[in-house]
Amino acid sequence: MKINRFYLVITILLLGILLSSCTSATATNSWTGVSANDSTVFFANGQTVLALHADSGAVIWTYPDKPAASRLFYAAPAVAGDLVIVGDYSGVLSGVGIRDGKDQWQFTGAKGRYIGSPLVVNNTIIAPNVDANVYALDLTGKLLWTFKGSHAFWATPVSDGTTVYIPSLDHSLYAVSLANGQLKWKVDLGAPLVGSALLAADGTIYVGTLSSTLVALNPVDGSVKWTQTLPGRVWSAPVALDDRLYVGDDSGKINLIKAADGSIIKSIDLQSGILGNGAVMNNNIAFADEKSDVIIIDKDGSRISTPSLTGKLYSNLVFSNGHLYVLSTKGSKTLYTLDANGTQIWNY
Amino acid sequence: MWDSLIITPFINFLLWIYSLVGNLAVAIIIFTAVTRLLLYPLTAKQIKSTQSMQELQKNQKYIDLQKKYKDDKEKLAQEQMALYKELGVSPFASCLPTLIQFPIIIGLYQALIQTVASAPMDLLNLINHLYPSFLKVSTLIPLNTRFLWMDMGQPERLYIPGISFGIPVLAIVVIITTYISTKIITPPPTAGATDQSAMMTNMMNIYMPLLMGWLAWTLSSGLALYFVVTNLIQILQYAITGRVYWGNILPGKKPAPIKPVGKK
Repeated sequence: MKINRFYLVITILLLGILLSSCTSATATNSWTGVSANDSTVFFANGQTVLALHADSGAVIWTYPDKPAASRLFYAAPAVAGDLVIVGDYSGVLSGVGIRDGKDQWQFTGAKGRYIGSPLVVNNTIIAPNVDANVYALDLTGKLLWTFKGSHAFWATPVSDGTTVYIPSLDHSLYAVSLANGQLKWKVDLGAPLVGSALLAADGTIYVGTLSSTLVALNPVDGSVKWTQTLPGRVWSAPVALDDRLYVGDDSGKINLIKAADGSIIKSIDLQSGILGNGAVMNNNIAFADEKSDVIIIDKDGSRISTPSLTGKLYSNLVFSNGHLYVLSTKGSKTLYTLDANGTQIWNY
Repeated sequence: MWDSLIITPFINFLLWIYSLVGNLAVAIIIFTAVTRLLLYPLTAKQIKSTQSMQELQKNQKYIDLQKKYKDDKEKLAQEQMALYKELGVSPFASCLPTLIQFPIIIGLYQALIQTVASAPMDLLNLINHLYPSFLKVSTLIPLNTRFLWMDMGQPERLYIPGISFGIPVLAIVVIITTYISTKIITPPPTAGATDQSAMMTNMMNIYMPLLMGWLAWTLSSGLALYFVVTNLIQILQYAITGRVYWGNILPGKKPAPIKPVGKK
């Protein structure tokens, strides 16, 4: 009888573990982000954020000292002088020393996850949060203002130094004052905005939607200059080179678009979803797709090289100081570093 | 195949309901109720079969067999099977409905998990499950996951001013409703019931509510809500059959043993 009771308890416990492991109260299922300066690369890695030497990949520091399951880091860290700004899924935004990875301050005023990376502009940290707020802090972590939207913010904002442009899951692109967070204008683009926007040199804002459109807007009032329908949904910002835009979509196309009027010059079919934004490397552009390939094209769309890595390459690509950084989801390596020709330098 | 046959249709059905009502919590309630109602013929068959087996426990022939062959398990099994045949009762009749329902319920559970997409990868997976000609991403996303004080994508806690911690209201309701739904179907002990089986039943009546409560405490509100609705519908279904033991709900009150039938 005691043995039967023992087996019953064990069975129930195992059932509980199985059911709860099939899901999670806080979804840990996402792709991570990377950023870099001239000497160091920083990337989110689940329960930690790492700083590695850009040339060798040697670990400089890991944050936090004691990882916790409740603190998950997916957003790319933002660099601001001597600080690295990291937001996690428990709603904590931390300012971490760039040399030692130690906490300088923590902002705990948010109620939701930091999915998008913060933006640092004019010594102000702009941090979008899933709780439908955008928080502006100074470099000591002091809250300057809060802008409230109507739904979650997943994308990293962009700014021209005066106005902050923030894409939202509620279909709107918001323009708010950098000085005080007051709304200047908002425009409904008809579909969720998951990825960041591109702020071009002439001030035009380009943003993609989950309705498979790329939209160009006037920064003064948000009026739409043009809308172009693409073959697939857009999960990230386009990149610009000369008078062209380059944007990937989840149907597997790299679309070359004329910035002036949105007309499609060419679509390169990779047959594998492209979710992260590309990177401009001198006069070439790199994209990464879902089936582990990095594709480097010239500005006319001709392929230069296609290095094959491992895992799903969902994250935004970053090109800094001659290095292309590629994060992999569920690959045999987490971070790959390539040169401008696509040759691997090191991996982590 | 599991994905295409079970999970994807469930996700699309749930989100279709959502597109009509505009709130994920309400959609979950309706979705759970509809699927439970569709499964009712199987549930009714299972209940009927279970009750037949329970009635059998009171049959004098059955009781006599237990006494006569208590030291010969093989012979007891043979005689029991013969008695089942004579009385037209199948001990396995309640298994088939359960077996059919189980993957459907697991699929329901997984569909709910995937619908509450609160991170980019989850959203990507959800979108890839949608039938493009049936549901439009632009009209569905973002989902309205707020309901009263709850967010369907997060564990439920009610924060009351003055109290430093959140109260897991849904988890408490899950424990209570699970306890009730298991207790009311447990028949009173019969003359032939063994201490062991009664003890096993009692343990299940304690551990299952605690397990479900723990799951409701840790998982997102949407799933906890699903558990509550499921339990309430189950209680209703048992009540409709007329064979519920409401007296079992109160602890410490033991119903009188039922006299065996068929005694000459």
